[in-house]
Amino acid sequence: MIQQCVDLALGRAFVPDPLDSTVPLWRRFGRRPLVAVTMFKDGFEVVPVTFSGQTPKFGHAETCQAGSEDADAAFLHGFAERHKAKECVINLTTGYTAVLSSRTRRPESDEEAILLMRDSPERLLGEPPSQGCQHSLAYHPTHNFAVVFAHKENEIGAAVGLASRANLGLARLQCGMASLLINVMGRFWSEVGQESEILLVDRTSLFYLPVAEGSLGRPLFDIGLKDSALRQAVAERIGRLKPGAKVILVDSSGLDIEGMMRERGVTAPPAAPLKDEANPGLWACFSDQPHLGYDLFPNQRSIRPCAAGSLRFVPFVFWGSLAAAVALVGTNKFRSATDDRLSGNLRSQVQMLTGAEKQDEGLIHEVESRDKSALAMRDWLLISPPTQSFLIDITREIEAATNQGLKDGKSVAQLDSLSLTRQEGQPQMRLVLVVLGDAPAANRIFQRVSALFGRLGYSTVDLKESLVPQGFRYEHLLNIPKGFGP
Amino acid sequence: MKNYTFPALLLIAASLLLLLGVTKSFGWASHSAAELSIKRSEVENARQELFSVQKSAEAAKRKSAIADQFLAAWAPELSDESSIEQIFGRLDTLAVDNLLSPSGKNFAVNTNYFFNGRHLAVQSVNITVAGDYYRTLNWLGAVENGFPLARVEQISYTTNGNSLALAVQFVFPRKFDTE
Repeated sequence: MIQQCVDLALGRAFVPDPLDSTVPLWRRFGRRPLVAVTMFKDGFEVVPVTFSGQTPKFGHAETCQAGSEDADAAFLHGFAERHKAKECVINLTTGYTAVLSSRTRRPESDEEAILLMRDSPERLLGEPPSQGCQHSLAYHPTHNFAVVFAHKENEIGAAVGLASRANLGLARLQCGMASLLINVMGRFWSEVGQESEILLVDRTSLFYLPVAEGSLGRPLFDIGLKDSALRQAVAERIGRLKPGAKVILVDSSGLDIEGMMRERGVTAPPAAPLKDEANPGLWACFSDQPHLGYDLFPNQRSIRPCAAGSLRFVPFVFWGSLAAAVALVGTNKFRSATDDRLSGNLRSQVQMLTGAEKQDEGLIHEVESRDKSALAMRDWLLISPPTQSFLIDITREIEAATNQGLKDGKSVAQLDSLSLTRQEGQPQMRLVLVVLGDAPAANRIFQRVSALFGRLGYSTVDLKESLVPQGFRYEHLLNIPKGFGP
Repeated sequence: MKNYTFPALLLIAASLLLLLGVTKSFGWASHSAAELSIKRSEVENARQELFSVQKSAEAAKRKSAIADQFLAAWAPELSDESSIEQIFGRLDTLAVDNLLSPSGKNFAVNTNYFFNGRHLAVQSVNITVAGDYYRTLNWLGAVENGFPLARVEQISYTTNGNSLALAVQFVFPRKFDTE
């Protein structure tokens, strides 16, 4: 899973594995050298293949006559090395049979056709596969008929062994005739008309199939023929062509088949698709048209799967997001770090300013506190007028009253006790005088003292007068004058 | 296609996480910028407040100059009158100087003396002097002169035959600091 994620992110997933037979050859080898190996009974022919878009281009072919296995492999290996190829496609021209079948099922897709034919061929064939054979199918384009090609596994094994000994990967193993028939029926069906006869001839084999709009005839084939035998087989087949029937001819044998047809009285010129191709069978194998070619290689290869083109946006999204994340997160991180650093400096400034502010506030508090202390002390002094002068004044008034009584020949009173008490929390004081004597004398003292209070600014809030033995008791509750107040 | 569905989803999820990280990073940057803005405004406020407080402090210092002079003048007096031994000694001395006989000296500390709307810590000192009336007045005047912060809280003259006694309660403030 991790490897697939990496492949997808790096875009490798969109490059198909060279051995992935579910991918057309032109996609796998568009930029990679490839060698085509056409197996004949008496040897094999190798040709380098390149692709121009989806079209295969074949280079100069070389032929190797059948020899020892090692010699064949060395030849193939050397040829591949010269063309820097590491994979090959093998085209089988022998070892097959072909029958008509109406039991086949059409696959949903080319990929399904490849995979089902490899893993569960009976699901496509509609019957168990032939023992020791691999199959490929050429369907009637519109009706449920198909030509079933059965390829012998010993032929396939020999071809696989050759590629293996040559140290080449096997990109695909195909039957050229089957591929050619699929190509012709798929791409040139319009040539068929109501009824035609398809004649496919290559260097060593002949394949004949009568076709009609709604049916397929019995396929006939001759394979592994020498030149003379091939010529004879072709002549016989031409001789059996229906008079006036339309012939679709694909010929890469080198025989003048059209001339032979004219000699035999087939005057109508045959339709000749792929007549410009030097090797139509190989072309059909490599073009993958109209359907992906069957792969007869029986074993599953270990391949890296290919991602669909619709996922191409994924690496762009991923790398774009990564780049954006690196750039923007980096920028934002830098901005954030700068801002945080500045914030830290400002925080220190705030602390410093707050400290200075607190210091100043402390100073203000201290000043206010001193101010309040000074005010409190001032009030204390103001509300605490000297008592001595007050007592002297009272004494003088009492003496004056006594002297006045003596002068007028009246009775006099005597001060027995005097007490002065401040009222805590109030600008008041309580003065108590006890005067011994008769009422007039005591009253004279009281009157003079009361007048003194008035002159000094004291106001009497409460006055209590009571009798005591031999005299009177005066209790004044006095308000201290405002001049002494705060 | 199916082989790469889950890896593709993983990569897309990773991309989304990266984009989420980008979004978050904008959030962090924005948060830091907001913090910076707040700090700038805090600094500005602190500067203004400091300026204001400094002005207030200057004004308070100018305003308190008179109070400070007053306190400087009276603080030694307050300090002198805080020692009860000194007070008793000076009261006795003044009594003897005025030919009076001191007696009944005692003192009490009152931390809750109510004066002018607030509570003060004071020291109440009681003393009785016996002798001639006018000498007691002189003594009282000398005490009030010698202890200008002392407050006569209570005064009481009593006669007993030929003897005259003056009982006085003085209140000495211990401090005027406000808490």
